[in-house]
Amino acid sequence: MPRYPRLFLFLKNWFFLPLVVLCLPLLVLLGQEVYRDLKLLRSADTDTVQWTLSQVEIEYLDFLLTLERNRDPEVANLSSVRKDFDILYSRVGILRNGKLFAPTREIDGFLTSVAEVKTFLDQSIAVIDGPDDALQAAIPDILQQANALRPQIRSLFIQGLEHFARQSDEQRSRVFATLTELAVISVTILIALAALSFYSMIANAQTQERGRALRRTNAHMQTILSTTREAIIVADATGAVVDLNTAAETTFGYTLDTVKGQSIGDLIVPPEHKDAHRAGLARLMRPGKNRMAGTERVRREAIRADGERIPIELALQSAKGEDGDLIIVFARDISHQLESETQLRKARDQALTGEKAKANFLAVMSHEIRTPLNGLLGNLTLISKTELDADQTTFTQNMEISGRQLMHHVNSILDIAKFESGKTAVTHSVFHLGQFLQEIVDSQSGHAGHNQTTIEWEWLGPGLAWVKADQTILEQILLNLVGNAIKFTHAGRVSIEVEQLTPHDGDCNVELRIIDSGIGISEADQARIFEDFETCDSTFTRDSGGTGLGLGIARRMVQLLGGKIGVESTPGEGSVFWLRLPFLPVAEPANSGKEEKIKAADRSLSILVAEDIETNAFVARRLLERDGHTVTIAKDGLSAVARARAELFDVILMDISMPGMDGLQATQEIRNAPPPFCDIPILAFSANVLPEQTDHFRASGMDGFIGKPLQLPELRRALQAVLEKSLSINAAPPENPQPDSVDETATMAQDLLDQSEYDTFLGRFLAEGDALLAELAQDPLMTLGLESIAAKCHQIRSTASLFGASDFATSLGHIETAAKHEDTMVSLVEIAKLSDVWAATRKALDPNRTSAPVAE
Amino acid sequence: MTTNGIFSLARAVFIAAIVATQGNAGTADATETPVLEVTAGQVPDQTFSLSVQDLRAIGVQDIVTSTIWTEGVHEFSGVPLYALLRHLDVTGSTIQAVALNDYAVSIPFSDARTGGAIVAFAIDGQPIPRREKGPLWIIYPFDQSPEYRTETVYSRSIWQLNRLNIIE
Repeated sequence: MPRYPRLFLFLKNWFFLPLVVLCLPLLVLLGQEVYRDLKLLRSADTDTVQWTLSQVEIEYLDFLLTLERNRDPEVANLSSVRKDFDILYSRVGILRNGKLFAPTREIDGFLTSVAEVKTFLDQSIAVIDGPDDALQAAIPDILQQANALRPQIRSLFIQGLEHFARQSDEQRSRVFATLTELAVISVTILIALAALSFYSMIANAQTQERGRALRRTNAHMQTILSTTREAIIVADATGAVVDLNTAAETTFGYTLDTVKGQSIGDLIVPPEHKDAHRAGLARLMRPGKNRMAGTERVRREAIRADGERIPIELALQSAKGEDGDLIIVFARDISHQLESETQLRKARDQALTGEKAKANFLAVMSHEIRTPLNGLLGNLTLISKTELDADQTTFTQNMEISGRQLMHHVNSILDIAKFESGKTAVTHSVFHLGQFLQEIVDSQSGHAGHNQTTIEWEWLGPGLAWVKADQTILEQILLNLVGNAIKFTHAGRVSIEVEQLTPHDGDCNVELRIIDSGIGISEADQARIFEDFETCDSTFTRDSGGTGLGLGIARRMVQLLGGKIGVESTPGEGSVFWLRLPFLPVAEPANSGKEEKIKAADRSLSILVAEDIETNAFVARRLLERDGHTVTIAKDGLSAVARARAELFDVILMDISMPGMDGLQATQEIRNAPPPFCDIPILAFSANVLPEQTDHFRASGMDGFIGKPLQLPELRRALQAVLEKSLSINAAPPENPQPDSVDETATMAQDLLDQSEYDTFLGRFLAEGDALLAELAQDPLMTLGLESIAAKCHQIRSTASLFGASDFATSLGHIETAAKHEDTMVSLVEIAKLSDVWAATRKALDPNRTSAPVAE
Repeated sequence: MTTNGIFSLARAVFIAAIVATQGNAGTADATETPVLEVTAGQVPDQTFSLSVQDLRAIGVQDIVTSTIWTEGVHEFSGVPLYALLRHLDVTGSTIQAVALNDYAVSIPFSDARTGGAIVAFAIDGQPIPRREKGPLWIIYPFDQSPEYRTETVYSRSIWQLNRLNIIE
């Protein structure tokens, strides 16, 4: 390529060609001129002229000589005189008339000389043609006259010669000039032609190079097209096949020769899609709208030549061809791919089904094992109350220990199963880390005391107060680790160190270390204690009753929280289990202070409480009456609506789930009542604490929300808001700390009721609990169904909260949620765990009462 | 001497006899005066003398042309050179043409052909006087072809012609 292609192009187009075009006519003109000149040269009259001129003089002299010789009449030969006269006459005639001498006759001197010579000749004719003797006599006279003409003859010769010499000079110089011009123009044309041929050489080389590049590219394209597994069909705007590559021939079973020009729609589009195909084709070829350019791959069905239907993946492109628009179809036979996908999906489904079956089996089996086991343990307790001798007492105690161990194992396996089934969800809540650790330490100090071991916790460095994390899971982890530490430490010390990590380890910003001065763990064991079913020492395992699942569960839980767990230990000196976990530091919640005393409302309110559960209603009445309010109880939705329409209350507390008309319906009824009854503030009063439900309440016309069990601060705040007309649905119910199976700080029932009332209601609650457990023990899914299970759990849950049995309430809540979500698996797992929790609750609430068998 | 030579000799003698007869029987007409002498070199002493009448008898061809020696276009009448040579049955490579003033020029035999030179004896139907470059003048068809308008051809166009020497 020339360096300046534009300039080159310019020269090519505007310089060389016009030059040549201009030069050519010039050359033709010059050529004609040269030809003419050459013709003149060829004709070369001048030589003849010179000859003739010189001959004039010679013949003149001959004539003179002849005259001289014939002067003497004795020797005279007059015919020779006459002959030479004629010869001279003829010669002069040429000068006078000859075409050759026309130019010289223009010269005055020449013409005069010719005329004089001619005059002499003409005058002499009479004598020459006369008789011989007269001629003889006239010879001297003629000679004299002829001699006198010598200067004229001379001048004729000289002037003629001069003229013709000049003429020939002119002609030569003209020829020279013409030839020079010819040469110049020829050279110019030669140069132009050389330049042109040089250009055309370059252009030719470029064209050839381009041609080679094109051939190479074409060859590459051909190679690619013929070797690719992608079937490529090229069709024109009407859908007629123009070209196929090898893969297309293989995929669709056609050869190019047989299908060229046929409609692509007729060849590969199944009959039921032909209309869509035609419409698509028309759309594609609509002028100015190139819908197909770069379409995404779509899956379609196509028909092969043998009629077989194959799934293909299809992409379309349009392109401009020489004869108009072209459609390029890229297709791939995806039969194999689809088959593999199907097989993979099947394999995955099978694996999932297997996993689910396994988990279900575990859950169901655990449940099936636990129910009779509970029965055994219950009866064992009954037996131990009877009269037993010393051996029998020992046996029953051993049996009870074994039974409890077995129960523990089964519970651990249930936990694992729950993890494996992926049902464990992380639920964040806001809590005070220090208080939380103190509660852990407090709850475990008794246990530690049995081993003469002290237990304590401390912050190293600056501490965190309020954090957001999954408190329940964290508690489970810590109880496991602290429990282990106490278990393996005798007359020693267990301490929990908490330290903020700087810098953070990933998301983890806090490290908790559980340090004991126990027996320690060998290095070999350290590597495997976090595996399932691994214990350090089989004898010790028996001694301490471990399943080997505790640390495995703890590891899973830590991982679930996004943290890390590890151990460092020296046998004989003690162990350090460390946890690194993410805790999101948060501001202290507004309603966190337990010490905060909210004053009772300034004035007495008349309050309607709609509550179907007698215990709850009773407790609520007591609580409100103690603050000086007047309370009316309605036992269901219908009677609540009736009372609210008959009497003007200051506020209504409305339970949500009630038989017949529920709280939401009742609220709507009240809102439809005539004023002023319709304007009474209504507070939802429910154990349902899910945030999305508060929106639901508001939508139903409620003004606020109070959680169950009733808590004085919350109640007072809500009532205050009613008085100040600033009620709003609170975003979230207050946190319920649940440190133990029975919340000692929140046993409101005990505060509010006198002993006999408390006993009565407690007895009723325990009976209800027993009844529920009994019902759940008898294949509840079959006999009750999930909906019924959820309802029963909900009913008892609110009462359980009233007695501070928060563990039991939580478990019921889990069952309720799972059942509402129709999650059989989780429901079963939670139901299986419930009997344990119930046993603990029962024991805590009623230590004096004879423990009833929890399940039959 | 070959058989050919003998025939040629015989023919020459025969022609000479005819010419002699004519000469003897001829009048004093100018056209019967011998004006052209032809010598053929292959047979020594073979000479033909021809009058204008003899030439006219062999054949007449007209050429209408201008010349460089005259003014205007004229009709020249004469016997074609080839016809003359064939009539005399002489061959050779060159014809030496000689004028009254002893001007001599060589004319190749190739000029003696159809459409070529003639030995003119009349201009515009009139005999050519000696004073006007007569009585015989070799004329080429100058105007008919540029190839006759060359120096060489002009030099061959001899006027006041009186002899042709055929040279082998």
